[in-house]
Amino acid sequence: MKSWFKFLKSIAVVGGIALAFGACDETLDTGLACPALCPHQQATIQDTTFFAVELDTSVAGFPTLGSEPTLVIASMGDTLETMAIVRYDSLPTTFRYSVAAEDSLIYAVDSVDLKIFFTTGDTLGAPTTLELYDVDLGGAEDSDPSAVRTAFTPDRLLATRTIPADSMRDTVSIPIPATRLLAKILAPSPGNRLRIGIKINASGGGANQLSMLSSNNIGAEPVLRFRPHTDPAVAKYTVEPLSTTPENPFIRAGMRDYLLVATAPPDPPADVIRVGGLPGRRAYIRFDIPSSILDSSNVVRATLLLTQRPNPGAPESTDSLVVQEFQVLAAPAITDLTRALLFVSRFRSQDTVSLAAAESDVVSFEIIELVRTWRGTTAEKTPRAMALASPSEGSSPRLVDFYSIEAPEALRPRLRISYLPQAGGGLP
Amino acid sequence: MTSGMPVRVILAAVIAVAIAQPARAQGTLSTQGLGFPPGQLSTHAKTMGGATGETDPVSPLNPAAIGLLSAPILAFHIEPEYRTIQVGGRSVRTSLARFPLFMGALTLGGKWVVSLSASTLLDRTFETVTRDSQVVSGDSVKSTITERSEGAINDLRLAASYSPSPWLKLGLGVHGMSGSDILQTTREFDDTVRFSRDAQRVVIGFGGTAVSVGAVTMFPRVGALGVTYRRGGALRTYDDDVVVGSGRAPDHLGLSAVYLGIRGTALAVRAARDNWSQLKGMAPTLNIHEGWDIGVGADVTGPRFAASAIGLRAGGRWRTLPFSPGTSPVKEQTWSGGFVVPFARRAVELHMGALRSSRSYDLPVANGGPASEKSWTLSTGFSVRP
Repeated sequence: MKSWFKFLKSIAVVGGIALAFGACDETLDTGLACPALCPHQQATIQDTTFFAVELDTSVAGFPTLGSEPTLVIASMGDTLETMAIVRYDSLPTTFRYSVAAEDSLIYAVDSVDLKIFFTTGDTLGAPTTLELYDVDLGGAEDSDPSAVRTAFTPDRLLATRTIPADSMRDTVSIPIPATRLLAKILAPSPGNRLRIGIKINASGGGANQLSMLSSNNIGAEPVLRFRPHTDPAVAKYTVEPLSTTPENPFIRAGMRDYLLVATAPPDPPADVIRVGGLPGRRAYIRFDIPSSILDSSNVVRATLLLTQRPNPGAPESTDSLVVQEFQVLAAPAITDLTRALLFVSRFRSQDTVSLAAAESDVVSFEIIELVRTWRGTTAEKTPRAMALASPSEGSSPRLVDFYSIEAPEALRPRLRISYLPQAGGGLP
Repeated sequence: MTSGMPVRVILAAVIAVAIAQPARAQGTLSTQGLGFPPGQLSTHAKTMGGATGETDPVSPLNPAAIGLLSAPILAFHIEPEYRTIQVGGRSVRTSLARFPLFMGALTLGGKWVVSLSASTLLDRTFETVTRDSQVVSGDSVKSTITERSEGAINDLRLAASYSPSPWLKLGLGVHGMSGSDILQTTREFDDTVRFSRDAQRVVIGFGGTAVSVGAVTMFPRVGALGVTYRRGGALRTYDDDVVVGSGRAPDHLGLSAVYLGIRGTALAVRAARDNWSQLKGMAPTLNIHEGWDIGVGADVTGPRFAASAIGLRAGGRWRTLPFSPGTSPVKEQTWSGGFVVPFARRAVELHMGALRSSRSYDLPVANGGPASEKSWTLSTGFSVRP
């Protein structure tokens, strides 16, 4: 009997502990009998639209010169003319036979070509004609890289090759006369270098665009190949791009190869901001939003409404370009917008918009994530700014224009805020 | 008990807790308006249908009843409730944790007893999860709304009892009604790219007073009578420091009669009435109802083990809940049973009971038709006489 009582007491203690701690867990989620039994009725989402943009502009130059991952060589007449510039500022002057103990000076070269990798190629369309020019101006291009636009003249033509469409796989080699390279190798410094301008010739119905990989793509950079002797037993050299100017090592590294925009679409008018194109443009948009709205926890959606301005004269105006919104991270102390637009960050949850330059519509950019980051901060610490840019920036000639705050009122940027009314007093 | 016993006990408790995990739930009939009134009754009284409420020293209703205590006491209660609601042929389950009663009493000489207690007058704990669809700026926007309320109006009572004679106890209680309710509303949108989660939090406070008087008369081997009257003072609702509603704490009038003429048995009956309508000004849209709270119950001495006897209890209770979703009231019927296990020469008592409650309400057909709610409440009370 006594052991039975102990057992009963144990059961009682177990039950008590179980109840005591099990009771701390609640499951209250409901909804079956709503709204009849639910204490509160659902609030209606409301919205308001107003002019919240205080500054908008677009800045060209993205990616910066020399940092392009791809070099878009285009020949579209008055619309767009671009060339790729590749520098081989350190050409070898010696070589060694496999059985020799010492190096020998190069006095002849053979099998000279330029090998490039490209990302786009029309294997079904028209053939592509590439022309190589000697764009070494003797130093004038060191201070002004765009000066080489004058170097694309017949007397500087190094080589040309027309590649059938079905040969446009991923690389192409363009033979260069050995005498032209040998002359460079044998020339006294600083003339012993080769700077090549690559141009596409679309006359005669050929392809008018090619995107080649730049030296920012390790293993896929454009290389100069040649044999430093006429003897086929001598191994070929592969020379990678290198620039010896300017003095700044970071800028010098970028100048190994870069994109030259010889002819660009006309700059946008004052009432237009532009995204994309070559050189690539980013739009900078700064807001003036009352803190009463920013700091309200009830804002559930913020939509920037931009009216697209049709631009049928833009390159590939009927093809779409993806435009994305970015957060500007640069502090207000950075007043140079070009620099400020270098410090941008993608949203965590990002919406993308595909637009063609020839179209016109009201375009929505969802920026609630950005607006939420401004809560509890001041404009002096966190700029109320965002950027619009294209993920294919610098890799595509396509562009999109939007009306700015200088446009007529009906076309100006607007901000639409969706919000929920403030909760009531919590009483039934 | 061997040294291995605590391990087995804890292990068994863990398993029991795991088994006790609740299922899903619903909007309820009982948590309308300002909340659900647990009744301010001890486990002992509840398992007897509340019939001893006005004579029970641990139930903070009758201040005179604490005079029945012969030694200092500390007591607290736990009451998880497991509900099932049925609307339109569908049913959902929920669970709710309550800690409705803490009480301490001190004897002063042979005639005076004082006590301090905290009990839940109205428990406003609920959560609703609903789906919403709206058209905003031409877009169909779908979201899930969660409304959660956690809070209560509590009754803090300081009571004193005086015994002018062995058969009569008189009592006076001073009550402070206080508490808060945290209401959180969150809306999660299906479209997380365009929309951001909305969360709003509202905290309301309650503050008021009341005073109670009571008497208990004892007739040895015959019975006892307890009568209570609580007069409600001003009770206000606050949003921060701003008064947003005002009313009066509900008056309470209750009478318990206990028959002790059968050896080892107590038979009790109770009738009580609370003037809940005095809360009318506390909130703008309350559907308040008043009705009797009637209970009957029995307590018999059960089998003896070692030096202690186990008390077995059962009862029934019928009452009208103060708040409803419409013009008609929600009626509640409860059947209960339980026992008490003493330990350490009755210095510690574990009261346990199970309450089966049924509530019903005729919802409009458009809202699903008649609704019913059934619940199991596992009431556990610990009392310690240090």
